[in-house]
Amino acid sequence: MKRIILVSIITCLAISYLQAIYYRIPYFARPAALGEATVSVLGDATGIFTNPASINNKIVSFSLTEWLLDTRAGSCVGSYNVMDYFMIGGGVTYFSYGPMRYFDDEGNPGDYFSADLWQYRISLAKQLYNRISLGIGTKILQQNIETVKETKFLADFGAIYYSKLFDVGASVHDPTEISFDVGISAKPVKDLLLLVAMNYQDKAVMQAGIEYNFKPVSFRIGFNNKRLAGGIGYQQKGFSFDYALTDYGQVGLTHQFSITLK
Amino acid sequence: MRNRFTWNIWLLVIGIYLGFSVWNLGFAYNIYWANLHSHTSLSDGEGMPEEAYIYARDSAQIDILALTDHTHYLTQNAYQYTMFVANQYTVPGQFVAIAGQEFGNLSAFGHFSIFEAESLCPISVYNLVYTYKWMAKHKAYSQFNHPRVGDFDYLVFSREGGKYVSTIEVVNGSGLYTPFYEDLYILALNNGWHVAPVANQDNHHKHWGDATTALGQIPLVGVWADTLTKEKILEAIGNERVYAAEIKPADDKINLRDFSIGNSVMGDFYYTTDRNVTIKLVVDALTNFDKIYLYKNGVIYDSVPSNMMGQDSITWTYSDTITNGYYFVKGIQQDGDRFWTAPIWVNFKSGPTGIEAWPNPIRLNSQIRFPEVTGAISSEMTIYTMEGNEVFKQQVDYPTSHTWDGKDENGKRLDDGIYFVVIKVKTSTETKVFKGKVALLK
Repeated sequence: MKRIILVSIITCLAISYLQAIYYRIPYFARPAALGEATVSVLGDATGIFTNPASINNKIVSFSLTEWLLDTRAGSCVGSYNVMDYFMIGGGVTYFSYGPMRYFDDEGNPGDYFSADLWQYRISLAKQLYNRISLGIGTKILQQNIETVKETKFLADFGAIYYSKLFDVGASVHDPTEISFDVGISAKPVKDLLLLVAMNYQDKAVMQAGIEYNFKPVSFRIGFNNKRLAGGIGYQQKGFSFDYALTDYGQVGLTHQFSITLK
Repeated sequence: MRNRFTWNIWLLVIGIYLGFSVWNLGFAYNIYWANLHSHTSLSDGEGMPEEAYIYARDSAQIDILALTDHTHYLTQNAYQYTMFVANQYTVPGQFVAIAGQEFGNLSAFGHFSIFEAESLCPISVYNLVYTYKWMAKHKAYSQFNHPRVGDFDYLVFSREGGKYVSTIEVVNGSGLYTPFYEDLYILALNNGWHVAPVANQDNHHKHWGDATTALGQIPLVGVWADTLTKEKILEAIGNERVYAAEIKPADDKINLRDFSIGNSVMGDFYYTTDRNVTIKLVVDALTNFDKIYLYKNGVIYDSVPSNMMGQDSITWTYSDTITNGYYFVKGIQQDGDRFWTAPIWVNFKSGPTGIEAWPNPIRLNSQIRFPEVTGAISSEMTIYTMEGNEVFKQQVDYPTSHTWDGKDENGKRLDDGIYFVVIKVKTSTETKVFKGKVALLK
């Protein structure tokens, strides 16, 4: 068992030397409110943006993200258990950068041009020995700015080791540059979840989150790169609604609204 | 002794060189004299192309001659022959021979001179729209010849034609002289054409370059160019850096030395966020000037004060509060000879209401502009990635704008994408914050 965990983490970190960055933006409310420290959290397909190994149940989730300075995104993810053999998840995200105005060198204005980003992703997760989940994901990014279209094919790998005391997770993202997450989460008491993680993307960033369930409501708070986030969730059988707010300092505030059907 | 003499010669040469350099700093362009409309026996004129170019160069002593024989007279071989001769007689620094054609029919939309096209224009003389398209496709600078009221479909602006029609005759030395040419120059400008006035001789006899009008004036075109090469001359014609002049006697050239607003000279656009502008005119000749008018958007707007007139050299600066449109100058000498400048088009832009990148998308360097803040002492610009991470910071004292080259603090070029810009402008009493987005593309 230890060997499997060790091999998984070493594999992730080794592959990370081939990885690159893209816009790492929390499109769903729960991860956003928890400071994106969810690399070690198993069970929610909204976590596939952080760790493809996180898929553990069947859900469909929709989210609207009011991002910074009139940019906004819509996202949808879903996951499905394939014959109790492995989990498959996927999603699509549309990110609108809002209207941009053309100017020439001398400041003469031209027409407005469009700028947006489409993301398509698919992930597979497999649980082994009731102790570890391994995940692999791929995504296609298509960015359109003015007349320039750029398409990237990127990959994620991840692993989560889970036990009664704590969960440990790691994931690596995207080719060409180093980018990875490692984290640990624990439930010291029932209804209280504590998370700590580190994201490395050019530099190390500490992330932390706390979730307290006061059923049917959940309260969340998170820190990500000194940014404060918070949110709430409301759960009914087969349904949940989540909201998150993050303070990006002088750039502004972001809001995420998610609905999940289980 | 000999060494001292050699040194003196060297010092003299260096002095002359430096003198010319300083002189050239004052005048960015030289004036070259041209006749951009003439014929030979290849159509309804006299003589052969060789004879025409030699006469213009040696007898008329002008710098540029365009042969524009009628298209419908020419065969493709005859046109190719004119082009061959033009290239043969073009000597950089001495003479530029332009091969052209006069296309059109007076019973249809009128006549164009088309310069240095690769081939004869094959379009129907009744199809103005396709003629404009053909000029644009062949990137051939063209000219409205002896316009009459109604010609060129009443000079209605054409987007395709606007790309390459760059001159219009205000004087034509042939019998087709009419008093309406100046009005049609103004009509063309008011219709949106960016054209410069030219005075041509439309020679049909062997006086290429020194033929006179009925009033005894030699119509010529002053061309502002760096050097006397075909490339530079065509570039000047295409950019409307030319003016029309009536010359009498032949050595009484009207030398337009300067007509500018800021760094924009005639033929240019002048973009500004300041409504107050200063127009500069410098012109000289042998004969004294009698009247000089400043036209604004087609009407006489002001004139050089009378106490400055009656001289052979005029330097005039004029301050105005601008509106969008154009200015040009028309002058008259005491002997009645006239000149018309090309316009300077002015475009007033109000200051930015938010953050603007010039250019946007940013490819190399960009000015990041922000609204004017009265009493601004300093400003700080911070660039963020889409993820909200800071990548670049810059501080400027007494700011009007910032600059950004698309690199982070370590000088590394950032990826294509959208970046957030936050600018904090400090005054003695407050800090104003502006936010915006810019696009970065390789």
